[in-house]
Amino acid sequence: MVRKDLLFFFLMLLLISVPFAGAEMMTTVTISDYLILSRLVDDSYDPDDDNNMLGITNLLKTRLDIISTGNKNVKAQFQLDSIVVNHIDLLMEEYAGSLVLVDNNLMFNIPRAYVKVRFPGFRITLGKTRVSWGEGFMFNAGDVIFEGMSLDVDISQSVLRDETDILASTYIPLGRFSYIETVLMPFPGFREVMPGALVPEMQSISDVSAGGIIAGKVYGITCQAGYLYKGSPQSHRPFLAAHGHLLVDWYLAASCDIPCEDPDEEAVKEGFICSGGVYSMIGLEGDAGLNLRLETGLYPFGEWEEAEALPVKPYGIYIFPEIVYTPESNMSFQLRSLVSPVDLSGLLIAGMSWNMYQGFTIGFMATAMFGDENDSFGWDRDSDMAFVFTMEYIFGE
Amino acid sequence: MKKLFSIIIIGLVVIQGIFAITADEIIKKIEESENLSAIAEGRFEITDNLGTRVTTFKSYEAKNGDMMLEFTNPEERGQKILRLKNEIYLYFPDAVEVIHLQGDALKDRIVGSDFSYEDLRGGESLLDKYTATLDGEEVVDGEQCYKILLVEKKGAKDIIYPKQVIWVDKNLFAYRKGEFYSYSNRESSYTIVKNMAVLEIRQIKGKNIPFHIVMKDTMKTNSSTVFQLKDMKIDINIDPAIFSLEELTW
Repeated sequence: MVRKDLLFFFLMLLLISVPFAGAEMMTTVTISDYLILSRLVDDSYDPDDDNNMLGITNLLKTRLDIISTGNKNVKAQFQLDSIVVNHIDLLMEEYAGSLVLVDNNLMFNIPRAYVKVRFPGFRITLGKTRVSWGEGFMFNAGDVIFEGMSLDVDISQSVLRDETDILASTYIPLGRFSYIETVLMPFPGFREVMPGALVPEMQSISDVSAGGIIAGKVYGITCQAGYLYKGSPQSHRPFLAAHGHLLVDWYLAASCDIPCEDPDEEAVKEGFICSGGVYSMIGLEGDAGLNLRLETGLYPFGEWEEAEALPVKPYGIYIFPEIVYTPESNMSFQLRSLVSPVDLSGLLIAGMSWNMYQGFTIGFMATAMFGDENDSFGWDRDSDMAFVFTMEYIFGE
Repeated sequence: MKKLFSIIIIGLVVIQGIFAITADEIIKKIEESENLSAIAEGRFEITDNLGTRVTTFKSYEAKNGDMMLEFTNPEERGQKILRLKNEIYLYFPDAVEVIHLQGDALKDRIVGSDFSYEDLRGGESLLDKYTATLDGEEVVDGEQCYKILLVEKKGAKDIIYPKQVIWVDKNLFAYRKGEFYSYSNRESSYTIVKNMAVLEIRQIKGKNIPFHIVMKDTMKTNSSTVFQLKDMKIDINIDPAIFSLEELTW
């Protein structure tokens, strides 16, 4: 259980100890401020009151990142996020289960805290971190651990999927480009024992997730095959993924989510998902460049006709196109979209980012949803239109 | 007497012909000295109108050209590049993600510098892509240099600069200066786009290593990339396991 006074003591101890331990570790601090002007369609706002239709959110995120450097066979990382925001409910869903709420505007999160140890012939990782299975940027059917097909992702970020969890993993290299990796995830979640205090929720052995992957290169194509027993809800999740190059970089993944209990044909069909993408970088005059990406997430046995209300099953296909233009090495303009072709709805993001000074980046972004009330994306949702101004500064030693 | 004079002249011409070095031989000599195993630490300084940004790195290079480079500055800390003959793997620690680059992606710039991933790619000789011609000798920074013209061979692929002019130190067989050209409006004429100056060459175990290079974009004012090595150890045994996915994701 995490208590406020203990957390405060812990933070002070950490801050005091950091300067003295500098020789054995690297410390980085990232301060990001997001000023968000968005259209709000929330119960707490009166739609008849024009003043309430636009909401301003200011989110200040500070990340302390400490990485050990003293031992070439042991590596540890500790990351602490503090988040100050005026609309705290905006974050509760995104960080559900991993946030510690200190007061109405301040939260703490520990995205990573792990130790990695290298033994002759294999290595072990214990703690809160991530393993990356499958291939794909927005859609990755091979990511059977962190649900790589979920549409509930902030597509304005540079890294779309970096979820972490408490796990134990083993990595066994079989050659320079082939390996076996196993994973055991003992804690499927947390529960709140009192406001602001979370404890890992102990589960029975059948609720523990476990699996493995074998990866290698065949005729220049990177191939992965893996399996995860998902503890909650209990299911079997085999997957395959591949990545190669033919004129452009391409990647494919497919997986199946088969319920452990009564796996009838319909359930197996519903759990079958595929993803694929192509990616190309085109050099333009001078330092300019153009990056093009097109990805698709496929649910072959999903809904292929527009439903009257938002369907329980996902639609059959979703598309993610992206164009990034970099006129200078430190500046980029990007256009991204998440489109649901079956109900003709989508989310569009246009933005730019400029790395002005050492460690300092500013950015601007406009987002808009299009679609009807019963569509996957619609012009009637919270933050269906938003303008975001960001400033980020990274410093450390 | 007249006969003797003729013999001496002919003799000098023959001797000069025997000992004259060709452009190809000069390039091969430079590339021989670049063929080494090394561990290095250094930095890129990228300057534009707004100031200078610094990227620091540590690298391991095998004799066959394989290379592992890890960024050590706070902004890119932990990001790694594994360069092999025709492919490059990038590792992003936050996403625990390995990205495999082939084809055009190799032309992308490394952390915004004037160096591309392709520049890092080893195993290829300049002579595979360019026709080299010796264009006399000139003095650069007080040192006598060979001036060599490099023009792309017909059908050569993945060429960033169709023409280069390089000045090679006559005694050290190391680059002193370079000019890099792209095509202007017509394919037969060229425009200079980048120039390079080697400000420091250090001799380590008999090899001449450029320690301080400045690359300037001629199309922009106040724009440059400085590549500077802080330390380098060469001809040492490097465990081949360094150049693997296991080390990349460590």
